[in-house]
Amino acid sequence: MDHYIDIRLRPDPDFPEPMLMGALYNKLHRALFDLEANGIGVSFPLCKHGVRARTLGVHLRLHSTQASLEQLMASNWLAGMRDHVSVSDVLVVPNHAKHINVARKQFNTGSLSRAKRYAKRHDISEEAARQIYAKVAEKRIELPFVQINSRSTHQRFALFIEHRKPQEEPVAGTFNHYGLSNNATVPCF
Amino acid sequence: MAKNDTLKTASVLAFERKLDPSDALLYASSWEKREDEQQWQPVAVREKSVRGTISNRLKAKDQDPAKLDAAIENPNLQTVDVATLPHNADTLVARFSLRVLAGAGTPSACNNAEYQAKLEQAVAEYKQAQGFGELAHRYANNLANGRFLWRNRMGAEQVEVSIRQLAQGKAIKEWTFDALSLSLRAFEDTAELKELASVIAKALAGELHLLLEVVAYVRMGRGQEVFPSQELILDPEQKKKKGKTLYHVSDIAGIHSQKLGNAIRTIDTWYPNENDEDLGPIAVEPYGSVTTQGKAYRQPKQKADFYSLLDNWMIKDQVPSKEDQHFVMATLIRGGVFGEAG
Repeated sequence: MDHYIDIRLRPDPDFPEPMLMGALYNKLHRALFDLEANGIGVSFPLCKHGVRARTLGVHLRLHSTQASLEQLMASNWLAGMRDHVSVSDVLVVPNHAKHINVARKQFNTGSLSRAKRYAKRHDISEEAARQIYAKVAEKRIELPFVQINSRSTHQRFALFIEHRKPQEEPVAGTFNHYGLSNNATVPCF
Repeated sequence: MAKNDTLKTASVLAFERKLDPSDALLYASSWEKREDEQQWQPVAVREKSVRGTISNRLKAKDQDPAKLDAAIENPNLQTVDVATLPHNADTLVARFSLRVLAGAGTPSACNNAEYQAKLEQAVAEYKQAQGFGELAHRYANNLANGRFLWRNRMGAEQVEVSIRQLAQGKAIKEWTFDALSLSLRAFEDTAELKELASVIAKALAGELHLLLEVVAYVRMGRGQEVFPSQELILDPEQKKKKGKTLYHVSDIAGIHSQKLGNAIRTIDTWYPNENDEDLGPIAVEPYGSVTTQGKAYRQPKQKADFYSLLDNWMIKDQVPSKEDQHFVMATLIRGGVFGEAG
């Protein structure tokens, strides 16, 4: 985790930023899946939280070792996005960097299938379960998200991303094919 | 040059569009067998219902906390249209035809003969000095780089654009481009692009009848979502029923001809750009308007819009700069009704 690459979206009259970031992140997921990479993390230094303005921003940062980043960039995964982004070289992480965990967060959004399962498990009517879950569905989510097509399950879903508090010491670990981890940290600067 | 005091803008002044695309229809195929038309399957639009939480960004007027609570209490039940490739096909095929018509700069309606004569003289001078080479070169780029695929281009692994020149229903010439190797921001100059540009220039100048068939093969992966045009639904009752309606022609998903035209004429790099924004070309529009940004880059205040430039040219004999001449001509090729309101 001592190197990084900055990818910034270039302003585009035809496409809004969240759509471009979505396309970029989907491509990254595809590349990490194809490379079976588990040592590349992401962070979004300009992302915004809050119910009213949550977006991943225009800045995607890739973290890893120099060798893995070079391997990723050699795979031409940005084809089709080239004109929409500016990409830095592989750079060395500055000394003063702190460490941050960037993770997927899943929410119970009170979906119908969940209510159905609840009804089965607790042996109540579906109607009653739906009423219990109606409250859950009201919950507001403050995290930025991106629409993703999973490469393995082919499901399309909203991936909510949480940047936890920066800490002094790094935590080692593996990253999934979205560049996220439940415990490992990436540098934050 | 003498100032022309008597000439007035025609109150009726209209131009036909000279680049006339059809709708694009979308098919699915496999990359290896992409050229075998028999194997194409139509991409269908289907409905799905989703129940989500409120996740869109709220409009400023909805940001009052009381209203926000109300909005969040309504679970986001939606029926939307989607279109995807089937699971046995990894390639999207988009096909349309494009007619290039002669007579750029000649109005289809004009009620002032003197004005028309002046206009024709100016167009003749432009043809003489610049020719249609620069415009044709830019149009050719936008066909070859697959800009007309819009969102479908972004998710692609590979894009091949094949352009056939048709005569009596047969292809007499064909060009093939690797679209992703061509930039969306700069206009490039390969031998093939030059050839294509030269037939477009000839057609605009009236030396040639030109009908092109454009087929784009977009490799995106099995089962991936594709993006036909979205229909604008004005009726609020219908709007309530469905959050998103996609365009289709007899059950085949499609992209509107307007959307294709807009992409092909995204060639205006001559607009004033004070903040030096890294924007790239915008579509040729009289006020340089970019709807996704709600912004007009050619403001009448700066005298950079089509009407100011044209009036100065015709009425005041102030010939615009070379770049602005290109823009004015491109707007005439785009077509529209430009007469002065009584």
